[in-house]
Amino acid sequence: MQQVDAVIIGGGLAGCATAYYLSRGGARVALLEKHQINSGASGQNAGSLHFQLEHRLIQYADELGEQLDFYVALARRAIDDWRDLPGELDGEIELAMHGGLMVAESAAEVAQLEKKAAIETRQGLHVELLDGPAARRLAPYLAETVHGALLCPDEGHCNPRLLTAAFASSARRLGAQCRAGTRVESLSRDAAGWRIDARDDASGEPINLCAEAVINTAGAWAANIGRLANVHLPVFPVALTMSVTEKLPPVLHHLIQHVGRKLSMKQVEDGNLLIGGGWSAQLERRGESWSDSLGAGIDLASLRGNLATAADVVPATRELALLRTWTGTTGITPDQLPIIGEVAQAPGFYVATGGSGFTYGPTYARLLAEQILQGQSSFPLTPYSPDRFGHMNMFMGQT
Amino acid sequence: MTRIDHNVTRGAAVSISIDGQVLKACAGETLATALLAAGVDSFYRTTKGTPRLPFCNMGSCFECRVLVRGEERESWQLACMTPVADGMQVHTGLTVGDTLAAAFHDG
Repeated sequence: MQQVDAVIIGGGLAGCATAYYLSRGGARVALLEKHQINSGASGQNAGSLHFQLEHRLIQYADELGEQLDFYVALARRAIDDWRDLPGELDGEIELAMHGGLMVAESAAEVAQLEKKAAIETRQGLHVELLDGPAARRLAPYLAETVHGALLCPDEGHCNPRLLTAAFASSARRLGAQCRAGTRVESLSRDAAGWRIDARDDASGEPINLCAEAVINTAGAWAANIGRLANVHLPVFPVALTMSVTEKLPPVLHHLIQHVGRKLSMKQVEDGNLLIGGGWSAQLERRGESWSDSLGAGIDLASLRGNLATAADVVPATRELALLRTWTGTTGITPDQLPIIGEVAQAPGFYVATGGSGFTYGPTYARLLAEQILQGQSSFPLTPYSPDRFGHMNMFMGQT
Repeated sequence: MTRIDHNVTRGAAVSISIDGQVLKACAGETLATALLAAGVDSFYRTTKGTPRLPFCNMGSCFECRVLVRGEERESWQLACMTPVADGMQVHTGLTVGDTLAAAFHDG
């Protein structure tokens, strides 16, 4: 039985970044990943850094109310964190923060931009509303149908295949153990803390750990790990579609999004365009459950919709050859906001999952590590606490 | 490369223009066939200027792209999947990235 301070379950961005920040704070950390490091949504997403309120949130602006203010306040914190990362992590992460444009194609959509710009400006996020011609002066490839755009100069993108690996490598340098191919089989708690029983998939060798803190960073599959700790976590898998085109000389400097349609587009350092924006893919079932290992299938209608939206907003994309389309599975919560913090009914059991996990993953991890090490974080995480779903665990948890 | 004529029945003659030069091809041939028969040695060029020729001849590798001028606009086509048509105007050996990028600058 090996004693550590914290065991992290799930080797995606949230897990590897938490391992890094906890190790940096002096904790002894073990990270256990069932598949390979970065094999889930952290490595499959399209790498957008979207600090503006997104389409998926603006659609529910009235229901989310002041949560949106908090979301934007956190975005400012995340911008600062991102600017620090290249100097802090081992290895290149291909971070580009050249700005993002969220476009509108109708008067009603321009009104949506104005509505969100008011919230964003109130919280100190730098945004600027442009009319169609001004947007096309910045981005001549935008279609004539673009009536307006909200520019956020801090937006951009980062390479999802490099970021998690850089966090894992930096965490290892500070002494963290990161184990891939290791499946957690049971979690139990007594007066001394948590006992974590896992198994190396290849050798069958048991791995037994004890720790004061267990951190569930299993992403879309966080509810499964919650079950091992006898708690309900409302996290549901959703599968999305991403595509990459052939390479071009640099032509598209901004992250392009749409306020009323599902779209994200960017040009990466190698010259390819990545196109996504939340178009669904088909989750695979195994029996009555969603499979966490089969991957999700491409839905051709969804792919066509994604590419047609891209071509409507940036007509020049119509001529580009599509190199590859792939899918990834992320987790969504009932209120679309992440779940971060300790589960009251299972002391020492923490969760960090959901809610724009790529853009905000490093910040969630950093704040959660502060909460674990110092008892409180330098930026309040209370709005994202699992306590808001505490009623689900009234009859669950650890006695 | 020359066409085999002995004991072979080919489609009707059509005229296509390759980089401004008019060439005879046969209906039913693909553009890739006509270009290879004409001795074209660079269908397009990569961003770094390397000339490329068809590899798979079945629409998968995208190495046979040529710029075809249609009635309304130019578009990149896979030569191996495009049948020749009378009056077709084709441009070869262009740097694909540059011409695709130009469309972004023009809006």
